[in-house]
Amino acid sequence: MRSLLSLLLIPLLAFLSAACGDARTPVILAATTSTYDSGLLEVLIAAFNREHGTIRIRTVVMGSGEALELGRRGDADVLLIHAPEAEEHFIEEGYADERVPVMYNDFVILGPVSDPAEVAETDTPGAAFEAIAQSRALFVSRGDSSGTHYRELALWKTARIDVFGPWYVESGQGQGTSLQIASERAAYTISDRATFTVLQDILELKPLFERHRSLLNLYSVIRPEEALHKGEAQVFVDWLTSESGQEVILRFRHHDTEEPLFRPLVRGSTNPVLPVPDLEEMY
Amino acid sequence: MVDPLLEALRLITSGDLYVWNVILRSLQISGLSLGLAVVIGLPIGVAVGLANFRCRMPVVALINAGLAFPPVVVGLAVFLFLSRSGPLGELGLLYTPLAMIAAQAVIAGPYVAAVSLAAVEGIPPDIALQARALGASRWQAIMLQLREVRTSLVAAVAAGFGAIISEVGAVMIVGGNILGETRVMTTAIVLETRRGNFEVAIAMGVVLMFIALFVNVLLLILGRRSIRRPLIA
Repeated sequence: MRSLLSLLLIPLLAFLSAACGDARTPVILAATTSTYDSGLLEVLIAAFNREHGTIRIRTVVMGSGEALELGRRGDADVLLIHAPEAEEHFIEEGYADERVPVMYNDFVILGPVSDPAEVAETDTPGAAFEAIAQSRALFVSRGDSSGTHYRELALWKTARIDVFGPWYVESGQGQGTSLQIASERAAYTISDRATFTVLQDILELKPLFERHRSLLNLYSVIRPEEALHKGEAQVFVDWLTSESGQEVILRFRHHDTEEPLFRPLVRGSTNPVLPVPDLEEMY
Repeated sequence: MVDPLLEALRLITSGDLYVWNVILRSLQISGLSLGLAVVIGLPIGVAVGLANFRCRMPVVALINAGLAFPPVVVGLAVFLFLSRSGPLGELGLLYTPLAMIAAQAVIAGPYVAAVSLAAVEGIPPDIALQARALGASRWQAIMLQLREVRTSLVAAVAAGFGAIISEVGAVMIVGGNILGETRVMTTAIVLETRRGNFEVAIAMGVVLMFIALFVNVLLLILGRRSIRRPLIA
């Protein structure tokens, strides 16, 4: 019996000492699925660790709404999300001082190649959504309070659609899964460009409406007041918006695609990038 | 395009660092959880199974109800307890392997307790009586009874392991699927499928199935061996 106990206790103690032996300060980063699933965060964090060896970033992946909730509860030290209105609300509630825009790309409205709702013929995102609703073609919504979900709901509002039928499907899952569901069921959906670019080879979906200024997808970083390791969290925030952080974002590619998946945003970054969108006007 | 299944097998056999790190982490976490569940669950199951006391039925019912705990609800409960705004928030354990061990121990504990309880309940009472009549101490009599149902106790441990190694909801909620720390086979399969990296997901899936099979066969063999051993030397 005693040998059985030591058989259990020794690995437990070894494990505990190994787990606690890491002297670096852990900073919990709640980030959206699009930044993680595309592979960007792994690259960013590796680059950050090369410059700041005393901080360990631990990434938890979830939708923006859930990330904000973790920020309220004090379970996340830094948020990297893309839900501008919900972020503003978070700040108004007093949970953070500011949100710092870090990078952007855009949303894409996708659908089956046959395009039964003739979305490709429309000229505004609102009209595209109206066409989908009127044709009663299948539409897959994230339905998970993520940044993309918030944007989708705003677009339905613009299209003045408030009655949804069986054609409207809520996946309740991350962007990658939702895209795969839309592809399998020949449905329309909306996605951030990064996730779509990474997955497009295995999807039977086509961009039907894109590159419209009102489809801007803005990522910001927030350090909640409730954060446990505020100082270290701030170091990460500052690094993301520093020249080195912005450079990593600009250089990040999926395989050999020409276009960056995310574009750095902070003015004064070394490489001038695409025309920086007029944020004041859009938000 | 390479066949994903072949690519998956290549990842396993070539000792791909990511795949094997996740596999070892899974075994480490589930193994420690199982240890904890056995240390707590087995004595409870055996004690309740052998003892005769008032209000025994409600206790038995409670242990069996533990079997019906949906793992994902256990995960939610552990999350709320360990959250920094929860009662144990000061410990800072959320999104650590220890949180996963706690959740998995809560899931496996009732399996171990309930199956071992059912096993010792089935022991004919005259075995203990005879042993005591032959001069065995109370402790010796209990050990004799346990040896009798050794196979079933092994099955109790197997049931507990099966319940946690393949569990995904609770470990995702309390562990957060952090690379190199709380990413285990099940949560990695969810992530890699979402990312479209099917070969990595398949590799983990194949290994997970083999582990489940291997553990069950191993436990079966151990159980068989214990039967052949003479009861009283």
